Amino acid sequence: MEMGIETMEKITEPSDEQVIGGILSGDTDQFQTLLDRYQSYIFAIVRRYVPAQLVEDVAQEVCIKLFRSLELYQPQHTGKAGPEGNGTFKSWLATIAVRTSYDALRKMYRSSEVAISELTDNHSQWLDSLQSATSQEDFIQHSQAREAKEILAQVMSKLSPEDQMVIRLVHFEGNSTAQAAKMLGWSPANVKIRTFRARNKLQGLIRSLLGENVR
Amino acid sequence: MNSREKENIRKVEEVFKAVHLQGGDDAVQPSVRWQQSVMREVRHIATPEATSVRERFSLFWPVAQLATAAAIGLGVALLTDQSLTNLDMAIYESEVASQNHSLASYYSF
Repeated sequence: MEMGIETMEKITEPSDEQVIGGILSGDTDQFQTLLDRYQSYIFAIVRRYVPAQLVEDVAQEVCIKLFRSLELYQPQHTGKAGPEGNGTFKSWLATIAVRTSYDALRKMYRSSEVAISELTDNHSQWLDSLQSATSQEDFIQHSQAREAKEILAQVMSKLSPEDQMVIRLVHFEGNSTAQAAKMLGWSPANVKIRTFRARNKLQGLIRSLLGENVR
Repeated sequence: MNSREKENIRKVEEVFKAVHLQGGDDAVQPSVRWQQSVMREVRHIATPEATSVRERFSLFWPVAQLATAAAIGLGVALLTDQSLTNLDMAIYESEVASQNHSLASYYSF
């Protein structure tokens, strides 16, 4: 019986396309439904790319951009290409979130809000400990430490926004060059070259970090 | 770069990757206040845009009519002004002519 009710609820719940149709026909309040469905998803994406203090603002910008561009969205099953050339609403939303995060990084980089701090004693200890780590548990423990996040943020702040994006999208998340190119709106060749160079820069920064720690 | 250095760099890179995939600071989550702020902004965007599109459309003809009327008025005023100037000149010339006439009659005296 309970299963029956759940199924009924699922049937009566409007699809994303129906909600979007409602918003476009003038019922702005239906945007609340999209927010309820996707706000955690938007936050999860934005949190990966921008510093914690900017997440709320950038996520809000994502929502505003989403609202403004809803009429451009074409669902995949209609056979038409979406505005970004891909169909599902979730992947379209992810593209908006990634591009908005990238824009925020560029603004931050231009206004030189990037704080470049030196290694603290805790950071040095963490690096020493990581170099002697051998087991999988050690590795997990190290990656969950606060120092790991801080050092990553410090290293990333020394890279340009473009390099940060390709490192995160391709090197860390494992997206293909084509996928990253689509999300960023760049050519695949550009993404490929940038990823190669950015990774070299990242390794150089890590090497100097480790060297600094030895001194 | 020796193999030990390479290994250490790889370890740090792997940790960075894991940290990134953890998804940043979990403490930052959407709040009710944030959601209300987004909805307020969305409603604000929706209302003026809808009004301005309608207004732009509905105001076009009245504004065009007003501009035409103003142009006609200005044209009439210019023409009238020109006519008045011509009239003034005619009166002035006739006055001069009459004065000349009187002088002529005076000297002929």
